[in-house]
Amino acid sequence: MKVILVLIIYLIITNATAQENQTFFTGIFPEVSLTKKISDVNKLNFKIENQRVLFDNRDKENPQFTHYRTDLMMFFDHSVRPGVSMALGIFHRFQENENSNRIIQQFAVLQRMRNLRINHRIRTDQTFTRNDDLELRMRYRISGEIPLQGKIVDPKEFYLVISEELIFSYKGGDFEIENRVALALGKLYNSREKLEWGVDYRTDGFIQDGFRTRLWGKISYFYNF
Amino acid sequence: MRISNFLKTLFLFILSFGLIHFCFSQEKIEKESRIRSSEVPEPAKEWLCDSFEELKRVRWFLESSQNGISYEAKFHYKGDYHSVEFNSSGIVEDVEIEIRQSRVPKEVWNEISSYFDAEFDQVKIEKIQIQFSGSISDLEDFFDENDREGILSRYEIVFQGKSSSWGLWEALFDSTGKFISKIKVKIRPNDNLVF
Repeated sequence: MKVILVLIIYLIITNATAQENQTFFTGIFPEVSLTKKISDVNKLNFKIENQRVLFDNRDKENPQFTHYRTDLMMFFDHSVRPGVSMALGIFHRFQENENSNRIIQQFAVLQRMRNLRINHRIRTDQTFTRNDDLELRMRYRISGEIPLQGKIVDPKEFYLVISEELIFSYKGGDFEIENRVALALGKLYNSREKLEWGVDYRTDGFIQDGFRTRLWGKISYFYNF
Repeated sequence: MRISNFLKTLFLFILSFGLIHFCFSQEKIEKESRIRSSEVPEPAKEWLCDSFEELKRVRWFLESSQNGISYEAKFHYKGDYHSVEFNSSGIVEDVEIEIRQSRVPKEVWNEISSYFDAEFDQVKIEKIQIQFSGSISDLEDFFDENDREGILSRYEIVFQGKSSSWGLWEALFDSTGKFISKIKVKIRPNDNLVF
């Protein structure tokens, strides 16, 4: 845990002192997540994410509304015990000249506290892109859900979600690190549906050339059935 | 081009879905919300002051359901986490104190364990609460002077139990450790944290 904390501090400092000609782009990031319970311990998750760039400091024409990526994914999730689950996922990305496929392995642990839920998620994934090297990644995300109206989130109440994710990748002989911080305001409409509005700030290119930051305005809809 | 139009439509769909739900969400709800001390009936605050001397930081919650409303005070007292429930008039109903397993008398724990052994292959205890109920004056005497007369005590235990598969349960045991009842605890969907 200490190593992860030191690494996060290093990434934040590196970010703050990064060169001025870094790549920066920002845009909107809607996503829809549908989760189907298929038994007491198994469920399927379908998710679609779309990223559109509104401003890119490398382009002359701004503002813009350029399609960046659309990701489709599906997970089979198996609950090992209450709050602990393992999942396998497949993923397809639509991106100009860079369409790719990915397989994902996931392990998640939910800690339920008196008035807070913390989730730890470890993922490994392998991304296959035509005419490009295989990319291998290992990811760790810690996220916390804080009720804003009481000690637990009840229907029609708001909550906050804060998350931090570190991604280590290996592609074509090069290592890279990516950092993602996200903050969202959520509303639980009823036991099945919630909506979150937030920002997602991503930085990468720490080791290889091309330090890059991306800021997304996110809107996420979750439905369980 | 087709995918671009599709995505624009999807984006508008998500936004509009949110707005529609502001207006049309309908579900029977049981909820609790944080309230100020000034919103709590006086008898509840008075009972708390009389029963727990030098009590400092109390957090108050209003619980509402189809059965009506109740008030709950939560606080740390002498190192233990307490939850005190009051009815809508501010009359105390029960007091729950979180305790460690080591504080459950050995013979009581043996009785509880024999239930677990009979019903489950594996058990992991998450939370143990000792629950005290009785009349207002009996409860006050119990917490103020340790007088047990008229006090009913029970153990409420939240645990993970494995039989055919793992489940999360909340079980109630009497003061001798005899099983009374259990209900399955459902974890609220955490798809937003997991996926």
